[in-house]
Amino acid sequence: MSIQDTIVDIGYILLALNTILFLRNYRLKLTSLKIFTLYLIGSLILQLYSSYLSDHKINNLFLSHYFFIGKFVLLSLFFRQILKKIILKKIISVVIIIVLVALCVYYIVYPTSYDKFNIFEIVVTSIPLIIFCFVFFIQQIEGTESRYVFIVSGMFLYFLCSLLLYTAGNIKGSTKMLIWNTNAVLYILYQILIFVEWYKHFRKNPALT
Amino acid sequence: MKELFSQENQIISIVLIGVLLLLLMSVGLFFFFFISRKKIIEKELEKKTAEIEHQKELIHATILTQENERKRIAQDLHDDISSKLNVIHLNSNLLLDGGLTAKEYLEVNQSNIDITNRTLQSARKIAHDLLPPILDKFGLQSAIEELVDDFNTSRKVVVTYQLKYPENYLNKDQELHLFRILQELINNSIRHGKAKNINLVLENKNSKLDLNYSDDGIGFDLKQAQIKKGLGLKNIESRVELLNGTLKISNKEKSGATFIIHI
Repeated sequence: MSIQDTIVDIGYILLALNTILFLRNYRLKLTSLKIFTLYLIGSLILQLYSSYLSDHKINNLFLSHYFFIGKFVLLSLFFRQILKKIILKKIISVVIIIVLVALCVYYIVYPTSYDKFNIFEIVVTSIPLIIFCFVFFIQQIEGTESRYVFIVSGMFLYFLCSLLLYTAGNIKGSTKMLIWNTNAVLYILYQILIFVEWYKHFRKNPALT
Repeated sequence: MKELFSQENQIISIVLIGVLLLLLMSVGLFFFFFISRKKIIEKELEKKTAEIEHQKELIHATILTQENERKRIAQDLHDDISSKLNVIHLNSNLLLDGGLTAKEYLEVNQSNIDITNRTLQSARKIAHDLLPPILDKFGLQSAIEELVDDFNTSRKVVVTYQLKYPENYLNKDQELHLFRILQELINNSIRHGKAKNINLVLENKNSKLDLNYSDDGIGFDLKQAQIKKGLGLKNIESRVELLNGTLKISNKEKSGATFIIHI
């Protein structure tokens, strides 16, 4: 097993662990937490399915569309729950609709890009999430509550860096694997921050209603 | 082909450096966020602590005032009532023992009647000081008028006043607070400020009650007064707080003090 595979596998294992830990809190009456757990489950399923496909030498790039769009919609809804100002909630709803419409139009105009790694899709789904993260930080700077700070820190870090890495994803070069390795390391960091969030805020009261 | 590879490798290294920079930037941002937050929370905590400290001081002042008041009442009772009752007691025993001439008998009896009268007066005065009956019967305006007239007849000070108090603007308890504040202010002006003239305006402006009080005494150092925790001032402060009002003290040293209370 190469180092690269090990890094990627550690990322998967952490994702699986986090999914299980957050699922334990599913009884918490916290919509934002439920949405986030759903995102973790979705990510895990897509990751497993994509590695299954790649093991059988089937092109798994089409899965990236579901991954990015699903991630965008779920996490936008997550931010819609945790941001407090009504105007921000409305803006998020509008952004979701605009991005989805833009993607639909894009795929109608360029149906062939479905089989490729689509940079346009990555950009329009990642940038809003990075902005939402930033807005969340501004909201939290005055509050004493620190729930979701670690998750959002992780998102901000990972989405920002991975956006740059993904845009270089279609480049072919001898050091190309370096990009994916960096991405995998950052993914581990992201998962660790999610774990820290669970450890700090959701560990002690799994059955709290 | 080789050239192309190296060119693309260059792009990849640029991307990686970019990622590194973004990473550094994000970490910097997190640090900034957490430190700012900590500072904001600390400030908030400081503010709350100061508030609690202030409340404590007020409570302390209230308790001390209460104790002082009790001491004063005890002294009044002792000096004015007990001592006089003692004399009556002695006189009565004298009468009981007998053996007095008719003139002496009359004198003792007369003295008893006088002392009883004075004791009654003293008792009435003490009760009056504790709670002026006029406040209860005729309201704040009359009570203030009576208070001011009392001071004016004492000739220690000249109080000019202008009262336009809308009746029942405040409830009975609040009226008593305002009355006590005025009592305290006038007492302070005479005792500490050595004032000769006091001007007092109470009026109703924009459905708010304004009390404007000024004297021509020597004034006081506000900071010094607060450091010493002058009881009177704290007492006034806590009463104003109870009235949900605001207190503004402007104080020119050696040219009198001004108190503006806005309720």
